[in-house]
Amino acid sequence: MTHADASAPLDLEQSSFNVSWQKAMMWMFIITDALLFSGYLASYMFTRLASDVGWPDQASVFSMNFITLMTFTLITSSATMACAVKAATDKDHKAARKYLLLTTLIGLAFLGMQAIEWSHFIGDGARLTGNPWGAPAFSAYFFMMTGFHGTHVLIGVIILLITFLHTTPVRIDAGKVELAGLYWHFVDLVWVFIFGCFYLL
Amino acid sequence: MSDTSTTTYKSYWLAWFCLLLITLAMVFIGSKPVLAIGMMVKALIIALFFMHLAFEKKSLIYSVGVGILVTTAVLVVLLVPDGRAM
Repeated sequence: MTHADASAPLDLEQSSFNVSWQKAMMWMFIITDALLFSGYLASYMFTRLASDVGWPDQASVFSMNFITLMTFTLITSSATMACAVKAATDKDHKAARKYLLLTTLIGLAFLGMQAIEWSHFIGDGARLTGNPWGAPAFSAYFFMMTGFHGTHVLIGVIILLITFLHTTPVRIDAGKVELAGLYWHFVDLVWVFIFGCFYLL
Repeated sequence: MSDTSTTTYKSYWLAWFCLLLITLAMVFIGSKPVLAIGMMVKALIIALFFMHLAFEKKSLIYSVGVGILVTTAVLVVLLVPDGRAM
């Protein structure tokens, strides 16, 4: 009786999007979080176009090889995460745990590379209020955008670690792995636009 | 979640390879159209394939797609041209 009562409304709730409410809410979160970064990028473009002082040439400030390597790192972690979700859904527990751990480690590698990049940038004289290359907003937007993105990566690594620790070789909740995967892919998606708009444009 | 049976590990690594190639094209060519198209294609590969959006119900695809694209377009159209005018 109680079991039927509990399961009946759940089916109704699932009918609109045909996903679990957890997954629907993760998608709603991703929409709102995407708008945060949209706002950032739009105001960045505005500031850059409106700047009286010339905008610095990114290739002479950053090591583009290193930034490209960071991009590859994040893309690779996204691919291993997709494999983790597939393995978990297929109930291949051993592979799912392997891919989850791999994704966490690659995510940590990205964070380490970002720490190196920030150290170089700050060592070269960049501050939130100004920098040696030109428009003060250049370094301000660098710290705010990559900082916000890096915070997302850090949160993602923690989520991945918790998801990994919740799995055992005999039991994996594929739904949880999928949720962590959605968030992790989204972080990769944001980096696509930061890489394109901030470093390359 | 039965949709994952339609994908294979190989297809994910193929998508990964495409993302790498597009990234390299963006870095080495770097013209504005290449950057714009590169970013959009990369975003579509990640959202539709890695995030499985392509296999979801249409109501979810439209909710996410319209929600993000329209509000982003409004933000950009309202803000960015004013920057150029200054």
